[in-house]
Amino acid sequence: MDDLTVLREVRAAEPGASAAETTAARNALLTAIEAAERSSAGRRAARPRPAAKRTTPRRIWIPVAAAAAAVVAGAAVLTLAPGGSQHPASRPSAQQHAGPVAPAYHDAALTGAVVLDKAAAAAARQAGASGKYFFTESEWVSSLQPATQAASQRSSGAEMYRMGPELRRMWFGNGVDGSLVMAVGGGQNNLGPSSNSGLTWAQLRALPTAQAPLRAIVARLAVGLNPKYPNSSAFSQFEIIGQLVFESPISPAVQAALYQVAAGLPGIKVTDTTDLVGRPAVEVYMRPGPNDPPAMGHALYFSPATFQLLGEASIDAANVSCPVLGESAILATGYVSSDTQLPAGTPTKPEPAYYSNSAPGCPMLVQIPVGIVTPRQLGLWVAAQRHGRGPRKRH
Amino acid sequence: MDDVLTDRELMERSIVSPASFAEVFDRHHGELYHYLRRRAGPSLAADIAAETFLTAFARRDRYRPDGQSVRPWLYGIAHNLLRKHSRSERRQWLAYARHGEMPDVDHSAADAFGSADSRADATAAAARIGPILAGLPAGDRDVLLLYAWADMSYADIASTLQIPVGTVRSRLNRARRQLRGGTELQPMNPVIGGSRG
Repeated sequence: MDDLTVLREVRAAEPGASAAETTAARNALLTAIEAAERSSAGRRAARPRPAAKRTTPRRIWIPVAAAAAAVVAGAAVLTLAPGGSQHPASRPSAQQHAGPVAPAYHDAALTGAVVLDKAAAAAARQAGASGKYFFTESEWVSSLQPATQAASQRSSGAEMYRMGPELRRMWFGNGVDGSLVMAVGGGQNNLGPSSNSGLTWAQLRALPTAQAPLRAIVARLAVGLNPKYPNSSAFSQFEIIGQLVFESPISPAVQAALYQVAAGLPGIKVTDTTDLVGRPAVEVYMRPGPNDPPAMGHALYFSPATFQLLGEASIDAANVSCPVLGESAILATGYVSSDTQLPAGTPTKPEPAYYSNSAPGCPMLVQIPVGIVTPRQLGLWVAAQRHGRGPRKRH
Repeated sequence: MDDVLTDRELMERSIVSPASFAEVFDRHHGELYHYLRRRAGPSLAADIAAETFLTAFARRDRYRPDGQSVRPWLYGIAHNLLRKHSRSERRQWLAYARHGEMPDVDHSAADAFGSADSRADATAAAARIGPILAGLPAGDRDVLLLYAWADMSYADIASTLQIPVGTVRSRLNRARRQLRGGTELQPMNPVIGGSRG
C-alpha cells in the first residue's frame, strides 16, 4: 500500500453534509440570490464583462500598481538569538542578547500579568517599522504519542513521535484582495491568503492601541474561535492574542497593547522553561477550564532578559511532565521590500539549530517507519522497540 | 431537450440570472463539504462550505474560467477561508493523530469508519499520517490533499491555489517524501517542557 493509497483512505468514510446542513447553506445562498435579484447591485452585476482568459498563473498577492509605486524601504530586522548554553549552533550576529541571562523569572512575584506588563513595556520601547513584507524566520516542531498509547504512558518511557523541527521562512504581504498573504521560500511557494487571526494586512496594521476598542476586537474574534465552546472567553481571547502577536505584521505599539489586554485576563500562569532552540524563557500560559476545549493549552515564551517574544507553544494540559505538543521559536523578524529579501543580519544559509533526541523525564521521539498501517503492526513494532528487538528508528 | 449547461455557462448565465447560481451549489456543495470535513471537521466544514458559495456568488462577476469547471475556483475560495483556520486545522490533525478522530466528531460520524477493522486501520493510519499532515507547511498540505482527496489534476491545483504548475509538482513531491517516511526530516528533537504548576 503506497503513501497516497493510505492517505486517500484517511477520513474517506466521513459522512457527507446532512440534509439540515445542506438546506441551511442552500437557503443562505438563496437569500443572497433573492437580494441580488431585487437590488440594483444585482442589475449592475448583470453587465457582461469581457472575457479575460488568463494565460499565466496570477500572483494574487502582489498589487502591480502598488509594486510599481512602492518606495523601497530600508530593511529593519530584529534577530533573536539563543541565550542558553544548550545551543551550540551559531545564530545571526545581530543578536539582541547573547550568553546566559539572569534567571529573573525565578522571582515568585513574577506573575503572568507582571510578565505581560513587562512584555508590553519592552514592545512599546521598540521603534515602529514598515515595509511591503513582514519577514519571519522560526523553528517549528510538533510531537505526539501513538494513538494506541494512553496519556499516562507518556511519562513512563513510552515512545512518542514527532514532526520537524524545520526552519521556516515566511514573508507576509498585503494581497490585492486585501487579505494577508504569505510566501515561503523566496517567492517560489506562494501560499495565498493566510492569517491565523482571520484579519487582513490592513486590519492588522490598523488595530487600535487603546485598550477598550482593542479588547472589544479580541473578544469578538474569540467568539468564533471555538464554536463548540461558546462560553470559552478568557481562554479563547488568550489564544487570539497569541495569534495576533505571533508571526503577524502588527506594530510594536499594538503588540504592547495586546499584551496589556492579555494581562487583564484571568487564569494566566507563568513558569520558567527553555524554548525550542535552547533559550531560557519565561512561559506565560493558560490551561483550559471547564468551559474551554479540553486538553489543549496555549503558551507564549518571552525572554527573561528583554521580555521580547521568543515563540509560542501548544500544550497538552493533561500531561504535566511532557506537555508541549508543538512549538515555534522566533529567530528573526523584520520588514523588507520584497518576498525574496532577508532582513539585514539574517544569514542567507541559516545553520540548523542544535537538537538533542531526548529530554529529561520525557520519552524519546521516534519516527514511525513506513509500512506500519494496522494497529497490529504498530503494536508489534512498539513492543519490539521496548524490548530491544528489531531496528530502532531513533535518529 | 436542452443540453446540460457547463459550469462555465452557468456562471455566465448567473450574471444576468442570479438564480442560475443555485445549480452551481447543487453540483458542488456535497463534494466540497466532504473535502472540507475531512480537512477541518464537521463544524468548520459546514460553515466554510456555506461561506464559500456565498462568497462565490457575491464575486461571480470576477470569475475568469480556466476551463469548463468552476470547481478549482470554488476550492480556491474555500482554501482561502480554510486558511483563516490553519491553526485550528493543525490542532485538529494533532488531535486526530492522537485519538483517530477529529475532536468535534460525534458518534454518528465516528461510525462512518464502518467495520471494526477499518476503524482500527484508520486509527493506525492516523497515528502515522496525522502528525505528518500537521507538520507540513500549509501550501504543501493544500497541494497534497487537493491531489489525494479532491482528485485534482496539477493544472486544477495550480488554478485553485493560484500558483505555477511547477510549484504544484515540487510541493507534491516534497509532501509525498514526508509522507513516505520523513526522509527529509531533521534529526529528532526533544519535547522540552517546563515545570508547569
